[in-house]
Amino acid sequence: MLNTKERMAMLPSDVPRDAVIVTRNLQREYDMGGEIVRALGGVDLTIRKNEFVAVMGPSGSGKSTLMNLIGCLDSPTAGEYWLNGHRVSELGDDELARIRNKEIGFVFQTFNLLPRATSLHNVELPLVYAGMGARERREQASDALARVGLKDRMNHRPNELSGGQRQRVAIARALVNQPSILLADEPTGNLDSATGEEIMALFEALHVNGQTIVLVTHEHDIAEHARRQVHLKDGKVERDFETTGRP
Amino acid sequence: MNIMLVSVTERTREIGVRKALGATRMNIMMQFLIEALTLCLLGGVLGVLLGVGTAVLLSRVMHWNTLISPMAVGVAFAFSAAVGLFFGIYPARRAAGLDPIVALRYE
Repeated sequence: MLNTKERMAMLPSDVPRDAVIVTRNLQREYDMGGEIVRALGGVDLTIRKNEFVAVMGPSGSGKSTLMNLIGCLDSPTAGEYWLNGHRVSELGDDELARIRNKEIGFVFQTFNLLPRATSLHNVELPLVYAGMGARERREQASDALARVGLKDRMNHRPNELSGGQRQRVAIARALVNQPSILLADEPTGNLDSATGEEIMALFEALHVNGQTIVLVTHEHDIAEHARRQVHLKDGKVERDFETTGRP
Repeated sequence: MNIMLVSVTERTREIGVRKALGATRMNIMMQFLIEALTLCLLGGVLGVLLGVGTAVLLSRVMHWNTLISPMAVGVAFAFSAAVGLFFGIYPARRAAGLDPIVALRYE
């Protein structure tokens, strides 16, 4: 097994050393009953450690496809993808599962917590799949819940929590494995705007503490919290620029 | 098997979430297989208890001579475990083979 430094040395030479996400001519086509639909037509993207990037675009722009590929939930038809130095585009199912477990923290629009499990158990889940022992798991999960301000809600089930609290539990679950990227798909889409702002403030705090964040959204207000915006259109990067973030 | 298949359908999203969080095919497969086995063994225990209970009752009330053969208990247990394994494998395999993207989008 190579260490991170050795893996990084195998990246293309024009890539900055602190790149977490590197895609080169990333393509994804779908076969829709004999007709080939090109959802992603060659995306070159480099995201460095501690960046806070919003991926934007209307539906059909390829944003979900790109998110699935970045999240290692899908494999590209052509092109290459390195995540934290792992050449993901060549990996099989089980290896992808391991990468998702170790390198990626997902936050979904619909929270996707297990309804019958307590907050603590929900947050422990990635650690279960990482093969960690029960006591250490408990400790790290309760630390993660403390980080999102929910230490006193450890034994509550999702239906005993508000929407904002549920999303916080989901964020704690995403952080618990100390992933290289936090990948959030419309994380405020199911929340009222005040609660959405609270969640975005939490993302900003995580960003300030060094977390790399990729946020997929179609809402400009939400994207403004990021420090860089990547706009997709028709499966290609249309614009890619840095912003100051919201004051 | 139907109950286990319904359980796979109902829990499609959960399977998607677990896969996104790093569960391998094997993890999901084992989870569903163990659930099917537990269910059937629980059924086995209930069945044996019911059988023993009836036997004891019959000998007390009707003064019949009953004999509980350990062999019969063993066979009953083995049978329910076999049923669990046999009818658990197909739903478990289906659960394990789900595409996480499709499973996550499932309503």
